[in-house]
Amino acid sequence: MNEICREMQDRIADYTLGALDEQQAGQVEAHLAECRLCREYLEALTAQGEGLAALGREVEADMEARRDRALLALAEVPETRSGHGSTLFWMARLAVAAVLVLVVGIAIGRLTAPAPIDVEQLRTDLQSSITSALKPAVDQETLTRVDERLLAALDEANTELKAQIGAQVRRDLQAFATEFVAGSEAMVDRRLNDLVQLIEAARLKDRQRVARAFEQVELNRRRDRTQIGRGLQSLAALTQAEPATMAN
Amino acid sequence: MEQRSDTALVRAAGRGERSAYALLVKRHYKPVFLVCLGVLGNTHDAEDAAQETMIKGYEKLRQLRDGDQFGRWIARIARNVSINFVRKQAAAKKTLVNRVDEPTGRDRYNDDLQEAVAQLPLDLRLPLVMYYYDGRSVKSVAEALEISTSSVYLKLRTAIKELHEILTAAGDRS
Repeated sequence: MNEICREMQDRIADYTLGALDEQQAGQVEAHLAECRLCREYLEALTAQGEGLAALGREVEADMEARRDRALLALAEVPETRSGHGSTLFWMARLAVAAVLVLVVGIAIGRLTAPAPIDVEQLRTDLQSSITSALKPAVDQETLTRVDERLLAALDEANTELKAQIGAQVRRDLQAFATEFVAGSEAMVDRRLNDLVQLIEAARLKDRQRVARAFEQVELNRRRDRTQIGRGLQSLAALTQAEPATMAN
Repeated sequence: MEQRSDTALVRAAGRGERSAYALLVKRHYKPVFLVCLGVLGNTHDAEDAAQETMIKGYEKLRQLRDGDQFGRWIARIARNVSINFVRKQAAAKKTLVNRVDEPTGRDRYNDDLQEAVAQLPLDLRLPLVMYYYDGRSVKSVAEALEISTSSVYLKLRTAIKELHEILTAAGDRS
């Protein structure tokens, strides 16, 4: 290959890549028709390209197997390395849930209990349990143990809390029932008193009406007596005057 | 075949759905492997690097904001992982190609070619592998490597010329 052909190398390489326009490709082909060394160079590059494509096919042939091996390797990656649903993540969520349960429990206790539920000790116990559970969370084995401890602590705390809340609710219900019954009795008394008063008032009204009736009867009787008296007097007067008339 | 988009799969995988990530691996393994092969020059190391890339991708998936960009994102991880492989190998003074048998004929030519590819500089090898092994267009290689098409042509031209020189020199020695 002479010096001029060396200048053609770039063009021939571009030619194999299909990077030349029609005119440039025509110039290269014209040169190739006259230059054996450049034709050999083109043949070498073409064979090289075919060899690379063949290597690509070889690589492609094993691609699925390689991919399956990658999937297998991926399946063995523990959740903790993925950051999705790691034990620590769930432990943190459980801890938050535990704190929420405590807060709600305390709130219920304080709002409803005459004597507040002793949840402070419970909260201290649980917090120390959570803290001691979170700290040593380094490897999977430890995390598993921590999980168990935390769940046990939460379970225990939940049971105790449930029992306390239940007892408190029962006490509250009893107090409410007592208060309700007492309230009901007082109300019945008031209602009975009201009824008695109403009856008394009605009776009084009746007595007054009867008294007024008696007075009216008495008045009528007196008026009748007066009228009868006057009638008798008139009759007597008439009776005395008649014999005199008859005597005449 | 799973019809969910990369975005949907990334979202599901982000929620811890491993099967969704497995589908992403199935979809993107080949380009990832070829990037690794392009950097490392041999299939054995490329497979290790591709595997590590996929695991790294799973671990870092929450950092990916746009699920549609998963392909580019995982390819970048593949490149970084592979470059780290090269550095480790350089430190351990390992050879890039481990030949077990002494091949003959066409196998010999393929092995010589493979070895010659492994000797190319990284910036030439990667576009060469993507273009010839994966059968990508120059435009697609340019997009994947985030360079211009003329740069890809230039790199490919240089790569095939250098390959020819390496193979010719090897032929002269034997």
